[in-house]
Amino acid sequence: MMEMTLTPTQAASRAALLDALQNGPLALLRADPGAGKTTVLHQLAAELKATRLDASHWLSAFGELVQPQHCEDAVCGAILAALSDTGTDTLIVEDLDYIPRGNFLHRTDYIDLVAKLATEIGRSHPGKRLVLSTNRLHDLELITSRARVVEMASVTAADYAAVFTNLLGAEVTTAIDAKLVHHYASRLNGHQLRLACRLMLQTADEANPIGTARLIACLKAWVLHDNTRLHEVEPLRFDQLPGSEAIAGALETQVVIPMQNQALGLKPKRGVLLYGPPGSGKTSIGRALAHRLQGKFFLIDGTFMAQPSGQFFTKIQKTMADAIANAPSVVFIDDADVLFQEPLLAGLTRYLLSMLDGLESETQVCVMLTAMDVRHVPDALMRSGRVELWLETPLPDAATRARILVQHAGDLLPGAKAIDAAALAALTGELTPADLRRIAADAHALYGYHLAKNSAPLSAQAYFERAIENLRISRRRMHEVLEAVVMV
Amino acid sequence: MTMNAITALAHRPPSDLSISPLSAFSLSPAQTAAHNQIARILSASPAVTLLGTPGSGRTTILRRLAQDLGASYVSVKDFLVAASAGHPLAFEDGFMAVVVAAFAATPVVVIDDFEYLAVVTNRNMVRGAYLRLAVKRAFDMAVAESGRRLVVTAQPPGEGGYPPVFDVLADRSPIVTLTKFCAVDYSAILANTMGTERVATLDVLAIYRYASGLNGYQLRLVAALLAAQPAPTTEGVIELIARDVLHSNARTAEIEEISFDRLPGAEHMVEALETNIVLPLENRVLAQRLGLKPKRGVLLYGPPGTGKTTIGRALAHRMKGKFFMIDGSFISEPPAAFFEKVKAVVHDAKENAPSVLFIDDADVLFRIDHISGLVRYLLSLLDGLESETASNVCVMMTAMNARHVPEALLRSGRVELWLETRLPNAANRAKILALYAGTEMPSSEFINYPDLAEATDGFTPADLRRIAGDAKALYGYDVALQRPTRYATQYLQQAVANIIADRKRMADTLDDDGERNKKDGKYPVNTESCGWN
Repeated sequence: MMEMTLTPTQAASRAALLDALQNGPLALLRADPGAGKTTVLHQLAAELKATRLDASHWLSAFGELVQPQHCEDAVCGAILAALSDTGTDTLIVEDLDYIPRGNFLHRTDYIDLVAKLATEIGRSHPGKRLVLSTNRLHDLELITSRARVVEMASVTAADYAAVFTNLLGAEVTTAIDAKLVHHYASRLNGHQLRLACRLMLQTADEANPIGTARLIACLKAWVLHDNTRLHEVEPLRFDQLPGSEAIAGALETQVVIPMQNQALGLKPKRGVLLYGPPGSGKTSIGRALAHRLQGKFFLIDGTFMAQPSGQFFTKIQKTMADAIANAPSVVFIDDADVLFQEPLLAGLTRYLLSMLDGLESETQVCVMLTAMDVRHVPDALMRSGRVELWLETPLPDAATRARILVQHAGDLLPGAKAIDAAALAALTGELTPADLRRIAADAHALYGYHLAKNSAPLSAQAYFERAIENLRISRRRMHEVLEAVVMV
Repeated sequence: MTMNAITALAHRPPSDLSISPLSAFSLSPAQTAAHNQIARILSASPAVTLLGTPGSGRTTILRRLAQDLGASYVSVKDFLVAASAGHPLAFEDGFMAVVVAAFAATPVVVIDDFEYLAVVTNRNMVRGAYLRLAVKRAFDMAVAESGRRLVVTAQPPGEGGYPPVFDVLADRSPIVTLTKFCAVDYSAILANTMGTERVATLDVLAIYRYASGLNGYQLRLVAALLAAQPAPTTEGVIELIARDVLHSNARTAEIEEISFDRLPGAEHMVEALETNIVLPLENRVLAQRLGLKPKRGVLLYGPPGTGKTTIGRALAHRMKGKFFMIDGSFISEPPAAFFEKVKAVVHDAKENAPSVLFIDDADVLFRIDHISGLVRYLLSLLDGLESETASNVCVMMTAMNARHVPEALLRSGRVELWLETRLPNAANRAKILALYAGTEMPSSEFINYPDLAEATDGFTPADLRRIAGDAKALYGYDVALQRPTRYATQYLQQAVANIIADRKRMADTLDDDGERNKKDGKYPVNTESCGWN
């Protein structure tokens, strides 16, 4: 790792740290895990002949403790000892956020005293310099208010290229288009890139030579993770959803292809609204899309509701953060109209608006909403212009209904092959794809009942007709009940 | 823990290095897939995390890996031994010492049961996040020397997400999740204990269809129970699973035993339930052949006392081990506690799918403010994108007033079967009275049911049952006091008169609000079929 050349972003951080040390005794480097903090600081340590302390030093210092409660003292002691060492002017302290800290019962914020101490080294140890590094700034206010904070910028395609050269050598790297890889997954850290490169080398063969496509395939198969449990999502393809051709086409053009065919330089739409009556196939389209965009599909739905509202938002934020980390990606908010109506979640609109705006700048996250009733999706969201694509799942026409019925009729019912789908389609006006699927299931259940009771079976056509009639009766019941609501 | 203690531990190899031979124990296909995925990842990554629920075979996979790779296998036992050597607050030092010792012994270290450590140290007030540091160090140790590998296994996170300590690994290395068992996994796991030949005589697919959520421990229990049987049949195995392995949250012993044929007037409803719920669940041959699934949603609605809960009771007995119930007893403060219970039941219902989730008095439950998220939660769970398992759970709700069931739920299309329980007509009232009056009272054979039915116009099955009970009590009272007894018809008539007098007193006492739900002072009477079949 030490011989690696720094990526442009890492080199910029190194320069910023050197600059900071010119102007003050204390600098803090913040970057996510795997961004290369250690690589940068190793190089800095070599240049400045600095002493380094990290997690391994804390642990061996703790090993000397008779009282485990004294772990802050051990950290303090190690830092002070290193500062007093006359041999070095610069001390580099890594893994600051991994220092265990006593909680509120026991020497509250003792470690802040260490931070205070560190900030005063300019006075207490003239000529000494201290460089700290951490994953997160949380709880480090005492230091951040006094130190020059260097935040490592997000990785660019050029960084990817530099990492590839480090890992694969210049020759192999020519086979890889770093820009395309970066377009496909823009937030990969060093650990992930290393894993993908190694897997690419191992799995490449004549059919799948080393190159961009192989690398992206490895990312997809091994590295990227979305929050959707695909084994719980019914396997569906767009071509199994008769009547959804127009919507599938629009989604392919506006979302899938821009996400997957990086070479064209397209961006997926920021906001997509999928609306239509219950059962018209919104969720089915979501399922097909989830399988299509494996690893890039993040789901927010009503299961998020089963917790206090505070946790609800934490969960949404986490999902959003993960979606951004895996960008370009899709955040699929199922039944958004229902979620937005929930009084406990009044903040959701505002949150989404700011998310969508924030996303505008560079991140390519497509937020997709489904709704039965567009009127219940807040105006602010609809009118903002952020929802760029409106797709309606219409009720199927007679021809589509016939196709769906044939698809579900199967070949188990007596005379299923000879079914008069057109006649059944005529009986199923206004019904949705979900209704038709249910009718087919009911027809099978009726047949099963007859078989179980040893009654003479009817024809497939007759079973379908009875299933349709049963559905109509159920619907009538429902309307009686729902109309009574209006009357009250 | 002093340095000496750590050094001492470092020289003591982890206790389980001598792993019992596993070669006789074959991995199931799901386990093999996870094993191969880990092996592939380990060829390129210094670390990997395996997530699996209890009984999914994590330990089996890990031991196999440890054996293949000549790795140190460390588990809770090693942590406890190490921790007991040191200061009680230095629990994590024990973990660190074990890892250091393991890496000193072998380049590959396999850590089982990690979630227990995470839980034990989660509340460490004195040295918060110490375990994070230790895990980070363990990862760094794996990176530090080429050829070193770290494998960690734990339970998948609950709803709250991973404990913070997992982030340390998740940020740096891949996570492999063990998938749910399929029928082929059942075969493999049963074969490990029973032998391939005996498993071959069973229809494992049917067993899997009956109970798709069994874990390794449960399957081993099944195999052990079968060991005593010379020639187990598939039906026998399914019965055994229902009796000894599956557990529903409904304590059937506490539920009155009632069967479908004791519900006069509900025949049409029973037929609808038989076709749509019972048949797909019980007749495995037909269900498999025709791909039948229980109806996804059933709403039983009607006035109080018309038999909604009774139907639930009958189903609970019929569907033993497959019947899960949510009712008013779940309601509690804070909402989180309520949802924990609901989630647990729903989880079990899914694990035992195909199954019935019975929500009693849904109209009341869904109208309680502080748990208003329940509807959304259920809807997404049952019909959402990730509902492949849940699609086999039938949700049956009862409501006195269907209008109070949230519209979102009704309109969603989830409720596929609408069954209205109505007041019994005269003929059914007579049948119900006859059913409960029995033959103990004098001249029971001459009870004038038509007249009694006439006198009980507007009574519910629950009322009629009460009348029969009251009549018997009156008779018993006479017998106890050694007074002359009367005819059964007379006792019944008196019970009817008593109940009418009671009702009148109640109506006089309460204001008229209670009557609001009735149209023209009467509930509709059952005169037509329910529309099914």
